[in-house]
Amino acid sequence: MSINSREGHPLDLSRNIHSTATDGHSGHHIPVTKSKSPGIPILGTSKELLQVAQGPESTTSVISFTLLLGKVSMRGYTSSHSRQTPPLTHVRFILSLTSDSSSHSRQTPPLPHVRLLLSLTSDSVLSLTSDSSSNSRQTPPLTHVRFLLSLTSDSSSHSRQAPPLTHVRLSPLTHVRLLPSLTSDSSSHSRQTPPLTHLYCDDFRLNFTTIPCGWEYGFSRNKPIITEMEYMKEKPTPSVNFILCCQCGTHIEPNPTNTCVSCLRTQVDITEGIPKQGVLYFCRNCERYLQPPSHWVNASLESRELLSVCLKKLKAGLSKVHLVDAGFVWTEPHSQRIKVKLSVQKEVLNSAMLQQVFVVEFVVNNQMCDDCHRVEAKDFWRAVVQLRQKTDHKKTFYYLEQLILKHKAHAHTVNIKPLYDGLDFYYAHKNDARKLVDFLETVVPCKYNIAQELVTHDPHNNTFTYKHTFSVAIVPICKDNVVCLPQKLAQSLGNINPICVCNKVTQAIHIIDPNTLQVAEISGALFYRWPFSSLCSPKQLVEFMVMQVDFIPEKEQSKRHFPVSNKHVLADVWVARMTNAGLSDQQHFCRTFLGHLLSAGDVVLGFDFTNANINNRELENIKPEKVPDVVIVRKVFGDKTQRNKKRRWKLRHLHEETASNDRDYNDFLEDLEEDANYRQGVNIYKDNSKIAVDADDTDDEDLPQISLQEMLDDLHIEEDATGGEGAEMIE
Amino acid sequence: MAVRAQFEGNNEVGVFSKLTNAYCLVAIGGSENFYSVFEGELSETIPVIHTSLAGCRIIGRMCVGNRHGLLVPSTTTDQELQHIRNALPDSVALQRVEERLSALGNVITCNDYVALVHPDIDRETEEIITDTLKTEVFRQTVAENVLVGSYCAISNQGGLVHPKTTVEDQDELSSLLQVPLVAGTVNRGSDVIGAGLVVNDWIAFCGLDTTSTELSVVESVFKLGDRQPSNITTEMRESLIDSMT
Repeated sequence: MSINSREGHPLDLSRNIHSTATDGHSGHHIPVTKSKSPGIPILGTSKELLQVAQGPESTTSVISFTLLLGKVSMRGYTSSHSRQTPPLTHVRFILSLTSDSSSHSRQTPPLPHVRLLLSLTSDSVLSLTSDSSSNSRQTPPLTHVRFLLSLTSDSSSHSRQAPPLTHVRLSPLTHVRLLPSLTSDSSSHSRQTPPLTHLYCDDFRLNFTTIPCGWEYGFSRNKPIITEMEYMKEKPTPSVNFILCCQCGTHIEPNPTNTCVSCLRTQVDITEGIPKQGVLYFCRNCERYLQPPSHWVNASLESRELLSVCLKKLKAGLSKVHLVDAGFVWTEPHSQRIKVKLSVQKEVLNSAMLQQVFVVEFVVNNQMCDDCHRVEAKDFWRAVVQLRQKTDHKKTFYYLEQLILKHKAHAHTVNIKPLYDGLDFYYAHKNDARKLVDFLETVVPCKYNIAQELVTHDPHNNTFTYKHTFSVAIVPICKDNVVCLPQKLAQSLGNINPICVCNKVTQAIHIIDPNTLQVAEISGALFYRWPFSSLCSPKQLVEFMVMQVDFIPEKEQSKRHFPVSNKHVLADVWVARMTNAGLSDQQHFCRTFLGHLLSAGDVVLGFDFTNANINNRELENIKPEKVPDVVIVRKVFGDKTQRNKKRRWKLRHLHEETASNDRDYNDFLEDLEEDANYRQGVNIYKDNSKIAVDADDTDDEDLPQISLQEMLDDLHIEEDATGGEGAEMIE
Repeated sequence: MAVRAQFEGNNEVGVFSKLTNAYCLVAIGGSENFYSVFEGELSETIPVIHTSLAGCRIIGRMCVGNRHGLLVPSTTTDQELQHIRNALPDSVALQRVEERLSALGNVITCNDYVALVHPDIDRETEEIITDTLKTEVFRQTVAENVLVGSYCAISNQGGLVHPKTTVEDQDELSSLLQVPLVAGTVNRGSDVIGAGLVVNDWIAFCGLDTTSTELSVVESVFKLGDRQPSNITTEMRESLIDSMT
């Protein structure tokens, strides 16, 4: 090619530098615009390579010229020389083309410099010559191939004696990189020439602007003489490259598919296979959503839980794509529609990630859940807890009801049925029933049996369906019962006197000996090993009037080898039956553990052994002289109706039916008032109506009362438009 | 003009053919369909040579050439070499190249004046390219890809480069090549231009998947077909208007 041309036709060089030459094959034609302004010499030797424009005022010595090299346009300002130096007569812009001999074939000799010299003289004579004379045979072959646009301020034209300046090179085209580098290339200095003495064109400001297919360089010089070249690096800004969409031809930035998004949409749909509609099942009773296969979850509208239910519905489709975002689109709550907006990503053609947003609409269908079905079906249960106590009063159950309420032990009950002697708790699952039994074991002494009834049996897949029954029997001993212990049990309990009073029932039966204050606990298991019964029911207790109380000093009491109660005080009392008051003077002597409560004139309840008809095997074994006449059980505080009226608190109930106003219930309430320990496990609520009425009524201070601090404020939700729903929440 | 073709269902026509201004190499396939497309378009002007290289059909990726010469890899058999030599015009030099990067078509791309080569190519090879293909050689990358032959296609009229080539890179390349360049795609968005397209100064062959948009880009950048503004619309226009008024 041209660069190899041995004869070095200068014009062939243009082939390499610029493509303005209209070669037959390189038909790339860039029109050279000719300036119409007069007085601008145009060099003919280079086939319109150059167009030189001179400023209107030549006297200002501001000479600008434009060099159109194919698509490279260059402007140089060689205006000001230093004051000291004489005005230049010649300024040469040398376009030198250096070729590396290594890239030549072996046969062709190395080509040193070939230059296109553009010299500008003071009389505005421009000449473009090919300066092959500057090639020296002695120079070693160059190692780099460079296209050098060199700018030489030739001071040789100033004085003949001065050696010629060497080159200052602007090499915009190195063979690897196109970044303009401006170097003072000392390697190209011949040995004979001294180093650079003057340089007039310095501080090249390179304005690097991209024009469709080429570059424009503007040189300006505004510093005085320096011997080193500087130039400002201007980092090429990363420009956005546009290509045409391969489908529709719109301008797009290149992407892995090289297709615009809209065209890609028409080709691929990453949401394919994801259902755009779905059905959610909703139980209106419990307000839960079905999570297949059989799980029901509580989820409010637009909640995280509901979103997970919705997404699980789409799980099969979403497994093929990458879910980026999911959220709800608001819908009217009554519309029974839930809209979920999903953003998914998927790799499509040529590993391009495509992201798409779409909305899935769910229709909410009502379906009653299994649990609600069981509740609605009433008798649909899998397990029942039959709670029984063989007593003639229901105080234990009133107490249990409060415990169950406080501990929410009835949470999963399907149904609660009151029966004679007890309650039945129905459950949908055996485990829930078991839970209640465990709870009962921790609060009352009891024993239980388990029974199961086969409902259905499928021999093919070996499934059995049972109904389980937990029969829980609570010990028939209650607070304030007088008992006679079996001999062996009495012996095992520290040889306690067999005739005792039960003063408390917790997990165990707490008994106290009224003669010695000795106390003992009988657990449920121990009780059922030596079962015994109460000597009397509370109804058989008789009212006595205390006539005289003699406290027994501790030193008179026998030396204690047994546990005694230190809450009670032992006393000898004389009592007379209330029914006999005025009829007879018969008084009974007895020893009691209630010394701390009693004083003369008090009314107490006690069991009169003398008039009782007792059929008890254990009592028969006791010598009659050891059986006391009277056992005082408790003190009577005030009139029942009076106390009932004064009561400023209330309890909650499991059902409306369990709330009652009978004697047992009132006794239970009185027990709560009298015993702070007893009411520890019970939530007591203020009765606002009674508190308001009785605020000023402050007589009978001695009555046992529950302080206001112990009472809770009942939660009241006013019934509004939601009606029944709000009422349920109170429960 | 640009023609769509397919080699046995494969759209990468540049893999199975090599097209220059002086000759065309076409791989030997099971059927003659592919060959016929080239034969039909080119038989009147340049020889269309049926050949394999080193027994392979992927001749477009293994050899490189222009109107001055043809370089084939060292694995080319003597028989193939003889066959090609016989079929090539006398003005075209044929040369075997001992190059480690033996897929010459992937590592070298050239028109009749300039060759872009893989940066790691042998110095010897570089000289052979200069001598045989009579081009200048530039070690270059196209959009950061070293396989310049795969990711661009150039003719004396223009060039199509990898779609990710930045404007700066395009400017640099086009200043080296002295032809206008355009970033584009072939085969419905494929960025392996060299494999999807063979082109010389008057005709181009693209894969069958190439869309009409891509085809029009190819035709315009390589100045194929009748899209060039005619003299009437450019130079004679003023005088015509003058005379008409």
